[in-house]
Amino acid sequence: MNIKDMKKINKLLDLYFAGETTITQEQELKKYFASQNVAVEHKKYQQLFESFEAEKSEKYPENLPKIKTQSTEKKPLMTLIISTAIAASILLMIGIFQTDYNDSYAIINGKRINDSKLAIQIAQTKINKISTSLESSMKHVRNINKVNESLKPLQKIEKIKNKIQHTLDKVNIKL
Amino acid sequence: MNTKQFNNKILKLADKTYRLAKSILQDEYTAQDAVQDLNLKLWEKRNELDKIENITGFILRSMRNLCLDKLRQKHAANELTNDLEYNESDPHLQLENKDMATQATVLINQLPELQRTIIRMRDVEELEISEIAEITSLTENAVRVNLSRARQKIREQLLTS
Repeated sequence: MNIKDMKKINKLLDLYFAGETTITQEQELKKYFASQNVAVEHKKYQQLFESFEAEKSEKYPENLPKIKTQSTEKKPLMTLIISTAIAASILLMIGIFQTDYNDSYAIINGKRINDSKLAIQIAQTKINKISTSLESSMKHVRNINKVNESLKPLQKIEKIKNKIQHTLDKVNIKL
Repeated sequence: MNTKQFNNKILKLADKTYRLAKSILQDEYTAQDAVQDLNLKLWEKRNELDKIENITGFILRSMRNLCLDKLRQKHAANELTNDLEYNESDPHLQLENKDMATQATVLINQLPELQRTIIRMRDVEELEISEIAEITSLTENAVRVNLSRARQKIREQLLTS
């Protein structure tokens, strides 16, 4: 390295440690310390600039899962509403057909079924399916009860507060 | 901000936020938790993120604040109230650092939180002084002073070692 370059690096280093370098000047220093031409008197600083480069390449260790759907929280409620609607419409359909006609029949998947036993059997299977679906959706609703149950001890705080207030009032009266 | 924009803009900053969290918290696992906590908070507020001009600056500032809260909670739990500045007192941490990192990294880690945050934002992330001022809620002059102090300390220690 010639004297001119040496002087330039020394000046840049002084500016750097005084906190007065620009990003371009700092990049110049990093480039110099990453090269094979580092002067002996600058060797002590080399690891500092190398550590910056090493830290820069450090990545978040895991692959963050990308968000795919909008919200999963709404699903149980939607399933519940849809299941209820289907169940209600099937029950209504069976009800109408049974009351309006003496000769009962049901239309299932577009086919007219006169055999009442078969119709009931198919309807029963469908209702069972919906019932299972409802059951699973209702689990989330039941969790709310658990939360309420867990919150019960908190209600005691109010009672304790009242007692303290009561005691404080008494003390005030005595004073 | 929709899901795709969130994935592209926010999750891409995870490396930067992780490095910042690790520098402040000095522990990679707590830093990983902090990144996930931040992403969750940002996801909940995704509709408001479109209004922010400098999203990188906003996210780094949020990350620093979240980490400082975590440090305060940790210190409160340990009943240590006045040790936010230095981590030199933790010999276990120093030993761990010495095993895994260069002397320069150890020296940076021993700086007060603000100084090590500023030196890394400048020298690792290559942010402008104005950006660092925004992230740390300091004036540009205060950032320069802290940057210069941090670098001077490192220089002294490198020269005497």
